[in-house]
Amino acid sequence: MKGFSLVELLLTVTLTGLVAGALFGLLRGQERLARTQADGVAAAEALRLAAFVLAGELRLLQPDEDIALIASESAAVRVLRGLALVCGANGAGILVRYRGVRTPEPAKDSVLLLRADSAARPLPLVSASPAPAACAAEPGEHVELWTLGAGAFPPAGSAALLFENGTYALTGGALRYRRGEGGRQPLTVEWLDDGASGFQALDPAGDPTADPARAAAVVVRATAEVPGSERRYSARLFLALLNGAAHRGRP
Amino acid sequence: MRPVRGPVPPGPPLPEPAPRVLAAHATPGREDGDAPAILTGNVATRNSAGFALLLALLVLLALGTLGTGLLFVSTLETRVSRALVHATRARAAAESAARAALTGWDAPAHRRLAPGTAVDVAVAPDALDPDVHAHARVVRLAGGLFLIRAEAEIRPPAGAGAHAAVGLLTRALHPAEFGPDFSAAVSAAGPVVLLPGAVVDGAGSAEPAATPDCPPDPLLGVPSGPRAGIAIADAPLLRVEPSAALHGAPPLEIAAHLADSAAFSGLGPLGMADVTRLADRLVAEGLDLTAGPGGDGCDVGSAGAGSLDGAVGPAGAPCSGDAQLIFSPGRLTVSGAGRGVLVVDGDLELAPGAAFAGAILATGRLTLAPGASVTGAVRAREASIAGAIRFDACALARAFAEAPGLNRPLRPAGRSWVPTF
Repeated sequence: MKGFSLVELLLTVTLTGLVAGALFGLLRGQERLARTQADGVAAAEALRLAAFVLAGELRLLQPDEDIALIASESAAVRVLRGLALVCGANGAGILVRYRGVRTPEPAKDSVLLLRADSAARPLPLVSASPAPAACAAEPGEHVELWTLGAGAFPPAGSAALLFENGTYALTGGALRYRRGEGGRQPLTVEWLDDGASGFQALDPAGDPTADPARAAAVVVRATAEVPGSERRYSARLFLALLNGAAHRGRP
Repeated sequence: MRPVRGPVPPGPPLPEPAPRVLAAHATPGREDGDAPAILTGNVATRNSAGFALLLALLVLLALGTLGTGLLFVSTLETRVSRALVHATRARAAAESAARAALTGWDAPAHRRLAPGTAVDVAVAPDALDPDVHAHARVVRLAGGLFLIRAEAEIRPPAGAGAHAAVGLLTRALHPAEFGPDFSAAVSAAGPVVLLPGAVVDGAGSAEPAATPDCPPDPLLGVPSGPRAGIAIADAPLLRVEPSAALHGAPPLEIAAHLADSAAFSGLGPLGMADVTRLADRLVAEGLDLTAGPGGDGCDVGSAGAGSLDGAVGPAGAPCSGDAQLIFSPGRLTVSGAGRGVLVVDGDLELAPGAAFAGAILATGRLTLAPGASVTGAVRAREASIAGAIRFDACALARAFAEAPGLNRPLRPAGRSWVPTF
């Protein structure tokens, strides 16, 4: 008769079970390692992205003009989107050589007109339209016809910064950005620990301050938690404000 | 029938024994279901079935997939980190290039730019790492503002690089910003006393008319033509002794704003703190101009001693490179001959024989001894003059244009760093 003896069967089943268990454990360990690695990368990426975005947006701001508020969970600022050099004027408005991260949108953008002392005068951008060839532009620039509020006609050679009002927040588990009164859109994965993440303005002496005008630096803390894991990734970003109070008053 | 293990039962001889070759199918007389032949100790069964190989392959596949994934993640992480490092380096390099442009600031050349025009600025090639390429451009804006637009690019031997740009707003002083404060040979709050033998002349000049390299009036930003001899807050505050000479157009000008204490609180747009920081030379109590730079053989009245472009005169020319911004925080006595811009936060005395060409600002009392002379203009709260003060727009313009301290780029009152996109 063909077949296996009971002993053989038991032995086979036992050995098969042992081998299968070992293999399953190995696979599971590998899978867990891979997932942990991927999650760690995602968490690190969230911190890195937050640091990169905030460094790019905050470092070049003029604290007493561009920062409305720095609270522990958010920073309300003027977000600069472009630079324009006035190259002429016609009856309708001023001609500018513009370069920026996007095209101007009067519905949401305003203009900071830099005076001779480089102090800025905020003005509404009433209209903006392309005006190619109206001025000679350098590579990367395009010429536009702008109409500014208050009937402003700055002279040729004046500089203006295009900006929108926005708020960066470390809430709801992510770095979020809100333009004007709009909703807060997450810029990172929602793995940040709200309690361990936030902003803090420092004065020139390095002491915390709630007055943006006295800010010389901003410290951003962010901690990312990997879901289903004990692992936490933390970053502390020290952003020296290049136009901050610590740098003023020097020839 | 079960396979038989053990010696092969007798049977027909094999035609060609082939060691270690499974030859069951070649065994003559074998019936289906009979035991296969076992040859030379190797066992093979027709019904051999197993999953070890398949299982091993599957496990290898799974491990390989996971391993590849981990490798990909690690590689990606490395690339992202490297890109971040490049981006940070590019940003730092752009800021360094902007600062380098500031360090090599060429005030005369930049002053000649028309608003809206630009000039490239060289960045020392060894100032940055070899894989960093940076350049800067100075754009003249309206007013006294300039924008240094600096860009840097990281070009690694392999992989993606990074690019960054940044702008640095800079303020530069122009002689025209100081001109209105020196619109007369002597500007004073009063009292002013012209002692016997004193000469104050706003109409004439020790020099001939403006030479082609000395067009003073546009540079000073004031109307051309003769100037007032003395501008004073109120007429009774002036006393002219017999044999003292006062000339000008008009000889006496009433300027009520000079009574304001703020009229003597700084030099043009600069406060005293700024002057202190910018001064080429800080002195106290006594100053012998002859012992200073250019004091050797400097004819302060010589035309062509320096140029209005802001560059110093040709090598070997009288007074070449000697115009300075000199500041004294308190009382000062001056002797010898020299030129430049002299600012004294207190009383100033020019000793007999002292000769100065340029601009003088004294927040206290100016005493000009007999034989002392000033070619240019003086601004002082009070004055006692026994020497000669002759207005000279050319000497003024040269002093303001050439003093290194006034040719330095300044940080604007507002923002300095701006994104340039």
